[in-house]
Amino acid sequence: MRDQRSAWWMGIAIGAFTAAVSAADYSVGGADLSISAFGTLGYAISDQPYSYQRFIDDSGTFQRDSLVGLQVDARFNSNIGATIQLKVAPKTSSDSGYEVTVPWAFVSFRPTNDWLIRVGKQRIPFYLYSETVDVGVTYEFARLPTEMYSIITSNDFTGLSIGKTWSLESGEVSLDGYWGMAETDYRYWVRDDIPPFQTPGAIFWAEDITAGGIVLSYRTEQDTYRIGVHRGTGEWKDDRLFVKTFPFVPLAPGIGYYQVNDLLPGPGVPTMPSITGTVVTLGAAIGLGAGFRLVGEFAQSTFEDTDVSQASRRGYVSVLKRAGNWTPYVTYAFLRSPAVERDFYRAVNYNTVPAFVPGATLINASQRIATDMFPIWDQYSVAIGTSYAFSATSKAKAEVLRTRVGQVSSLIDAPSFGNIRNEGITVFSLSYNFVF
Amino acid sequence: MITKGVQGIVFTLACVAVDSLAAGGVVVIGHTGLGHLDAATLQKIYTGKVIELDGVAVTAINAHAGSELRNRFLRAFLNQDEDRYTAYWTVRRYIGKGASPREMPNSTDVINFVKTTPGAIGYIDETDLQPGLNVLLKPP
Repeated sequence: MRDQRSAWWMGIAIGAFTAAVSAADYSVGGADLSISAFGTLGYAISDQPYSYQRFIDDSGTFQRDSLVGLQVDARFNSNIGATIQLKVAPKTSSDSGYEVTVPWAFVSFRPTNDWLIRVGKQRIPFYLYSETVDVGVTYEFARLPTEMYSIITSNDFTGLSIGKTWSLESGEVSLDGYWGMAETDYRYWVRDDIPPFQTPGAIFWAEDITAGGIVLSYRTEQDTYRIGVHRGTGEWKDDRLFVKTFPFVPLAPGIGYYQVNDLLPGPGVPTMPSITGTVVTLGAAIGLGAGFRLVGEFAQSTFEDTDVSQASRRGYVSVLKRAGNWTPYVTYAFLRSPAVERDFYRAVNYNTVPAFVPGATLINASQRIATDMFPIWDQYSVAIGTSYAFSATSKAKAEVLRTRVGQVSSLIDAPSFGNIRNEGITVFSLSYNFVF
Repeated sequence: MITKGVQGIVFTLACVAVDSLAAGGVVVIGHTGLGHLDAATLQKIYTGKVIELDGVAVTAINAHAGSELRNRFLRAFLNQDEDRYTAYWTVRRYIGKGASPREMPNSTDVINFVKTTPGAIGYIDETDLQPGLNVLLKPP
């Protein structure tokens, strides 16, 4: 609670400071400085007692969507600039408390009109809205579809990016490449209590990722199309190993268990020190005329040498209609792990050994805990919402979201000794978004 | 007695004059040494897509947001209004591609800056034109 209060006081201080100084640009030591701030005050509540997307349940929360940030852009000359951004938002390494992070801190060099080179901390260009994901004013959705915008916990990397643009009569084509390192926290929800080994709740594992990719975009005045290929290798920070699979240990005809831990008898859990994955992303935002706009994204991720990974297919399609200051929209989004991963999850999660088997309780509980560490999804959502633009710099948004879970979803904190499947969740969200 | 036809002509001419006053009367000026601009290039300069012309670094200057001069400039040369222009630069800032051009409060400051800064481009009201200023573009 103290963390939360401190962070919000800091956010208010950032906002007040920026409101006071952002009335004009500044010149310091020959550099032009421009200071801006952004923020979202967002509230979300669901109709279920368990948490969805970390924070949303039937008691309501401001934590899911609220944040505040400050950005300073420095222009040293027409070729060289720098940007730093601070953000106050819920911690990614804990479910309690807020933290101040620096999502952006880079130097940019633009040798000509068509080249842009950036060095430092910046955004991974996964999505159409990667760079502005925290700036709610820049898009109409109350919340960017979580099914799509959850490929990775943190969208920031430290490294190098190079972009080249070609101007055409009809628009422009740009090719952006990046390489760098990222730190991210993965959150797992452990359902069950196994004293003294495990208590239920969220656990966080930190990972170092080295990644690179290229993104090709085509933009006209109304439309944007892009395709990206990204490849990265991750290692747990604390020398943890990645599991390749859980071997099945037969005990008798029709009876056996999955060896999820080397403490259980069996041939041994095959592991690897790192995991390598590839993500292909597609995106398009198309003006349809008469104020209608179609926006859609798709991503497919695959991982090598493991049955336990974040492999998935995900995406969304949304139709928006601008009518004066209002922009209502309808969105369909989906997120699904491959059948191999879902079948393996089901096999391990629901496998039990009879009580007469020595250690049956521990074996059965261990299997369930192991599947809690499966990043696995089978869900789709439909959202109806609208934004209202008070001005170019402030918007209110409201949305009703209905999510349907099939077999399982790692976005849900399942209750102890339970499974969330074939269930629906309705979320109502309201937010105010601003920049100045 | 004025015929209906003449009344129609007078009315039409009045509308054209009002329209010219609303959208025109703004001229784009630049440092000596900059050549004449076309509208497409000017648009790219004021949207951050062009930073140099023929090897010369360009510095664009805006009037204050919401000012009448700026509104006329946006309408005449960028075919936009203030809200769209602000929204464009908001996105551009937060994708890390810089802030909108520097703003100056009046034509005198713009003229002084353009005269003394290589590569500077700004816009002023036509009535503020002075001899010796390099006019790069006038409204179509």
